[in-house]
Amino acid sequence: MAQCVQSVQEFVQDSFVPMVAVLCSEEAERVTRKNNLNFAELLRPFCKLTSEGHIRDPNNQVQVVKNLRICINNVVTSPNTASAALSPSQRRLLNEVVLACQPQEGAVTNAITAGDYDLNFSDHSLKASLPWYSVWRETLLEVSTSEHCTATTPWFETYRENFLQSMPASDHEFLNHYLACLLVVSSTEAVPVEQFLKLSQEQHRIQHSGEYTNPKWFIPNTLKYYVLLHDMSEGDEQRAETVYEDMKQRYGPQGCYLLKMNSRTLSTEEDEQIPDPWSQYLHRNNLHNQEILDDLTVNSAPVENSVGAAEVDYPHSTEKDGVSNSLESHPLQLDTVSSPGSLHTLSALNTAVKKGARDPECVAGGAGSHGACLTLNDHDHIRQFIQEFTSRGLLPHIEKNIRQLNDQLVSRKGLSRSLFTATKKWFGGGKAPEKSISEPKSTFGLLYPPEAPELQIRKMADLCFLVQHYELAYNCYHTAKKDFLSDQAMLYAAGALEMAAVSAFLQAGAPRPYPSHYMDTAIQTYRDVCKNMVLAERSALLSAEILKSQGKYSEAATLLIKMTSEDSDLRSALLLEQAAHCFINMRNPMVRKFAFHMILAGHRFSKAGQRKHALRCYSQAMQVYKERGWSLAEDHINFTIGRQSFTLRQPDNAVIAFKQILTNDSRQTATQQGAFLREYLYVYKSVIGGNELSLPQLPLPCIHSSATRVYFGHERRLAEGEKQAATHVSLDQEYDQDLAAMWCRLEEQIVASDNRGIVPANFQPSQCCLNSQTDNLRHPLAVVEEPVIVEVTFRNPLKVPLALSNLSLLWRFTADGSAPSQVETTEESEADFITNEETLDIEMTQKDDIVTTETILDFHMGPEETKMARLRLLPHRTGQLNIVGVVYNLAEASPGEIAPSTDGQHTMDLMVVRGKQDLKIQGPRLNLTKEDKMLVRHGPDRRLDPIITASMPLMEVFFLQFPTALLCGEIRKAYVEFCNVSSVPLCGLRVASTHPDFFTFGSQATTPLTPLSPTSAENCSAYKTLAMTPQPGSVASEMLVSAEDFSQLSSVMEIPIGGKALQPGESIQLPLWLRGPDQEGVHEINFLFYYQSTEKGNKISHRVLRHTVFICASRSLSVQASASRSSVPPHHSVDAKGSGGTLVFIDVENINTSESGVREFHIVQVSSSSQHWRLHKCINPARDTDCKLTSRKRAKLCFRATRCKPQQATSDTIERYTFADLNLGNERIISSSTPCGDFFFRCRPRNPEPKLVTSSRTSSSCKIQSPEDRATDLTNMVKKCNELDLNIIVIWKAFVVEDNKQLILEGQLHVALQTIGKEATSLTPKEEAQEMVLLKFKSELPLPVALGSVELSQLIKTNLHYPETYTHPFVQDSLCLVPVTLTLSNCSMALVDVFIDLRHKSNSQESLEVHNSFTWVGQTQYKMQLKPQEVLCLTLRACFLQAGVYNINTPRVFAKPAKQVALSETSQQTASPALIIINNA
Amino acid sequence: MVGHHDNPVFEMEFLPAGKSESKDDHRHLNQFIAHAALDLVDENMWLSNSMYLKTVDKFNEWFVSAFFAMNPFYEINAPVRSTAFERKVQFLGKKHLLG
Repeated sequence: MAQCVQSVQEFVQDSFVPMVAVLCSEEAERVTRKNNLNFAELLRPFCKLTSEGHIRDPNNQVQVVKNLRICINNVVTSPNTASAALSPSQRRLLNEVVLACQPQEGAVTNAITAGDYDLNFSDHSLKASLPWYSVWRETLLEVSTSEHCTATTPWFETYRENFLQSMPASDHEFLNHYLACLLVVSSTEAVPVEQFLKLSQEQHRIQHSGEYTNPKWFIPNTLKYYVLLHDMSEGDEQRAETVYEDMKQRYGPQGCYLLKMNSRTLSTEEDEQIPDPWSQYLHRNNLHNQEILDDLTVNSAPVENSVGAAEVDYPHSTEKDGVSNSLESHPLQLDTVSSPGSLHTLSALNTAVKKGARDPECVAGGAGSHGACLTLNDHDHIRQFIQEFTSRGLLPHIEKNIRQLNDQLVSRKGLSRSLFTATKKWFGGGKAPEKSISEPKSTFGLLYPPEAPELQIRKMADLCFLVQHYELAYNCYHTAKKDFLSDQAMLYAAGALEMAAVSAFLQAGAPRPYPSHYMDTAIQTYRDVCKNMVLAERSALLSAEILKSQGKYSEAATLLIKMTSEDSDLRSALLLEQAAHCFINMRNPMVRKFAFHMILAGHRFSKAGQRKHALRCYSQAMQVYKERGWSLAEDHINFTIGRQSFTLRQPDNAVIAFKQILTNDSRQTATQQGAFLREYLYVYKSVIGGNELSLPQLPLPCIHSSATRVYFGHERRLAEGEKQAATHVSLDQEYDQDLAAMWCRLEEQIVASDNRGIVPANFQPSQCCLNSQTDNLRHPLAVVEEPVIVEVTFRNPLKVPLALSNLSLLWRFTADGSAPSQVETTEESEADFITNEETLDIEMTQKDDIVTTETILDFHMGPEETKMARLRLLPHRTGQLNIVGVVYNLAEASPGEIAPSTDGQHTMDLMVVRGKQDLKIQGPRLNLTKEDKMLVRHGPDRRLDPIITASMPLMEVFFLQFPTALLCGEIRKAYVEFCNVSSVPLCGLRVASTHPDFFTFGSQATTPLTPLSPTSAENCSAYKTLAMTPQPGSVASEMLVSAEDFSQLSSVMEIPIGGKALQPGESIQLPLWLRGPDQEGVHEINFLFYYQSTEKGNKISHRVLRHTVFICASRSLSVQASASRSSVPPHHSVDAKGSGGTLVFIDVENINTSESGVREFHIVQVSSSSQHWRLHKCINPARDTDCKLTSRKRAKLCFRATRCKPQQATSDTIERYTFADLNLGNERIISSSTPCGDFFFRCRPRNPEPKLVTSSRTSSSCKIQSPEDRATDLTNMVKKCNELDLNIIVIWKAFVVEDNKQLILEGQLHVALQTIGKEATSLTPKEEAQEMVLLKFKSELPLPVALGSVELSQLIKTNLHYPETYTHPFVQDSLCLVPVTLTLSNCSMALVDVFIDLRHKSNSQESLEVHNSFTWVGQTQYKMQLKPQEVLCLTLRACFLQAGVYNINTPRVFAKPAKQVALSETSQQTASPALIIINNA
Repeated sequence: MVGHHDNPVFEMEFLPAGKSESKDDHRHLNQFIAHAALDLVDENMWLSNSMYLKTVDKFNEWFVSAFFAMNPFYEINAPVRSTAFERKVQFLGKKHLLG
């Protein structure tokens, strides 16, 4: 093996060495055979001379010969003529040596950084790791350590060495012709001299008989060197010496040698470690046998005899000069003939096995060892022998021949060169035509006969070259080149050019630069003119090496690339790889060129059957291409790597490579992807064919793990018969941050209501469905025997459909108590968990007693589809569950059908593999501490690690007769059913809602005894009614109710389920009244039901159930109400004294749109509810008792309201409300009972502000204006006197036609009358959000609000009482005095100073006219003080001068609260004109 | 078009009018050749004043030309995905390369 790390000079020098032939007697062969070697092989490690040799050139100058290597070969005769190409066996050999030389696995890597790229090379040659090597290389090889080649491609060096050695000898050059022949005879021979004679004759016959064209001999007179071989172990040493003496006599002391060897006896020196220098020369060692066998079996057709031959060495097949040794033939070699050509190595191997078994020596020496009978002394003997032969025999022989040739040439130089050629020209070219006739291959120029004089100079050049006299050699080559060129002998000229270039390079001191153009011409001539690729390749190899040594990497690369051709994949591959290395060795490394040429090399390697090399090339190139977006290139590389890895039985690597192709963003066509997928599945299948315990990871389809959603609990039932189930949470819903916050608020409210109004510090909202947006920091809590549903998002990146089957979750489970530290998943004690993974292949249901794992049988994914799979687990024990991944069968879906067929028949013939994928979810990035911010840290995400807790109650809620559309204010009765579907009782049932005014469960005290069954209650009114026909003038029925009876005013309600707990399996049905929202439109109404286990101390404190309904509210009636003081004097009112009379006007309009099918509305009752006021009677003048309103019709109702009895109003410890009902129809609805009362209370604005709203606003503005308290007091006081606080409930019935059926709907509308004179409406005022508000940078000062006359005018109510007509005889008395009573009533609860001025003070022109004949007489000014609510009558006298109609409403009344000095009196608002008719009698 | 990190930013193939579909096995070869030529582009761009290198590299019958430009696209080194741009390139390619 080319272990030698040579300098370029050494390499070039060693490429051309003196050739020595060996002829051995049979006996001598036997002796060397003991060492498992033939004679030539035996000498081979010692063929490099350690000492200098000397030679005298023709000028008698001493030339030193250093580091000379000689090449000794057995003579192989063959009649073949030299060909321009390598023989098939030689090609095979080269292929094998390259195959055998592979980078060592796990070797130290070389890292190269070039620009953006970091590359690693792991292909160091074997030498560094063989321990004995460094010790022995000095003694055995004398390797020059001065300069190491950078190449780390030993296979190339091996190839090159073998290639150069297998060069067929050619006629145009003499370099590899034999210069000498060793004749070897054993001392054990009976008559050794005779044997010598025989061998000598044999040599002569071979050289001169003309039978053989091969081997070729340098000079006719070949040097014969006689070697007597003495086996120390068996022969008589004395005799050998005698024979040697005789030989010296016969052949001269410098022509023969006695070589003593085999001094090692097997028994004695058994344990001495003798190194084996031969192994590296014999191309292979045991190390590689297995691999070669593997490769060969992979590469070729089945071989019968390969089995069992793996372990054995097979030295013979590895000889560089072919398999067969002419002197050593074996009967079993027939096998070689019978087996196919490419299997020849194997057959030879087989031979070796059999032989080894027979040969004791071989066995003793160990199967792979050589030189077993040699001691270190013997090694020295051999070395000395070579030394002796070279310096005494070979070199003098060469020297002599150089001299002779030189003499010849000098003598011929007498004739001038030009004359010589001229003669040739003049006399018709001499031998030229003759040669062209004799040689048909005239295409590449002239051919000379072997002994032609033109060749003599070349011969001399070659001799000089071999003994390192490069200067002389160069001169000769140069001269020869000119001759050959002038003869147009192109092959010869190319040869001379090549060697001239080499000689020039090797000349010490480099007198001239390396003529690379010589080499280029030579290569071109060899290749293009002579069509001799072998020679061209040799030149290229030499030249490339020389160029590289001079740093001309670019030129070297170009040269090497030019040499690639279609005729040899192996050569092309090796040269391309070398070219690639040139690119990376450039001063500015061309990494991308490197990568590309590695790809090309890999391609050629794979064509040459060199799979390992191909794989290596592709893998190295991959370092450059990966992750840069050259996806097609990457795919190509990965695919090749995958294929090669697979055929090289590295399926794991193959799987990884194919995985890359499939998971990268592929730009391949669908067909291509399909092919990749099939290949992947096939490879994958073969991987898991092995007995691996855990399933491997599958790359497809991609899992979008952060999108994984987890749902705890049963999937909701939508409906059960007529029952409609609570919507709760489901995986079908999208997560909404706002909604989640809303539910959380509701839950907080409920929890707070159950916990004395405080939300516990450790409160966590219940999360049934976890996703990427939920808070997944804590382990979710799941309940035993309740399913856990995991929704996994799969994405198929390919353009081909995928068929998944038997898809299920993989989990790990740790039972409670088995590992207390298990709560934190980071610290895992391996032993305690149970997993369903191993059992998957065997039986799916095996672990179902712990957690039932549901399987999806078929899951089809279309091309590039993203699809979710919901996978269920049902835990049966408490503990920690970890959902770790999914497991499934993967196959390519047959493209024809999209829908998965149930029978599964079609999947039978497709490739199906089983594997898993992990579900790993990265938590949110942490951003709390500084470290978090600096680094990229992620928190945990535990949504897949639920803790399974003990049984909890589970409630289901159903709704019956629940409407979807209501009229605004419509009252509907529905039913709700609560079922405990768990095995434990539940209690503490509550509900919270975003719309607590929408529904009521009724109040216990007032709930009417309506039938519980919903069916029997159909068509009944939701109200509690009493038959009562209204009589004209009838007064309201009253009921005093405490607000406490309707206590559930907050948004959280306890659900009255009677007993304390709902037992397992028990269910309860409750009526539920609903009232249509006051605002039209679609309302989303959310209910949160809350319940607890009766047992305390569970991990889960409570559970919740969500329900969302959408109610479409359509317009019904609009009610507008206003109140005003009755101007009727108190004594006129029938049954109320004091200032109680207030008129209430109610305007009702049908604002329903016709689409809802409402024909008409009937106002059936008007009720009031207040703490202070009540409706007293209907004073409608029209007296239409049943108010009917068709579409867009409007009606006005008028009522009188009075104050409640004082003691009721003042008992203010509890709020007591007086409900007064005035029914317009035939029946009275008891408004104080459920549901009317409930909704009244629920619909009141939740904060008791309404009465304060106005006052607080005023007070705040007052505060700014005048901070004094009295002002505020005053305002309040003034306000108070106008306060009404009367709530009107208008109850209606609507007649609706629906599906030709008449339905009667009923409902109630509320109007809160706060203040007298101010209109209130049932419709919540539309917010005018659209109005643009100018952006103001300065807050405007609020306008100073004086306590205006309007407010103060309300303090005192005035009435004038007088006769409407008064007849006075003006004739008799010109003055008519009419008594008028002025009634003053203090409306406020404070002392009021009143000032009355009767003096006429009219400004208007019109009134002047009227008042001319009218005046007040008597006291015209009064000043008095009125007590709270006091009524005072003043008798005034009006004096008229003539008959007419007068407005006597002229007294000006000023009032101010007492003690308010600063405030000026304000004129009281005068009522309408008080007209009096004065008649003249 | 290739970004700073040797990453392809935009690729388009023009085919003579007769051929409708390119051979699939050449698609990756195009990438290989283009990528390998970058070494020579790197080398030559400092040697020339021109923004345009007519034939910077060749492999068999493939010739590589190069043009240097600033990246006018909003995100450096991101693949260019614009139908308008694609249409324009298609048009120019037809006009200058195939016409």
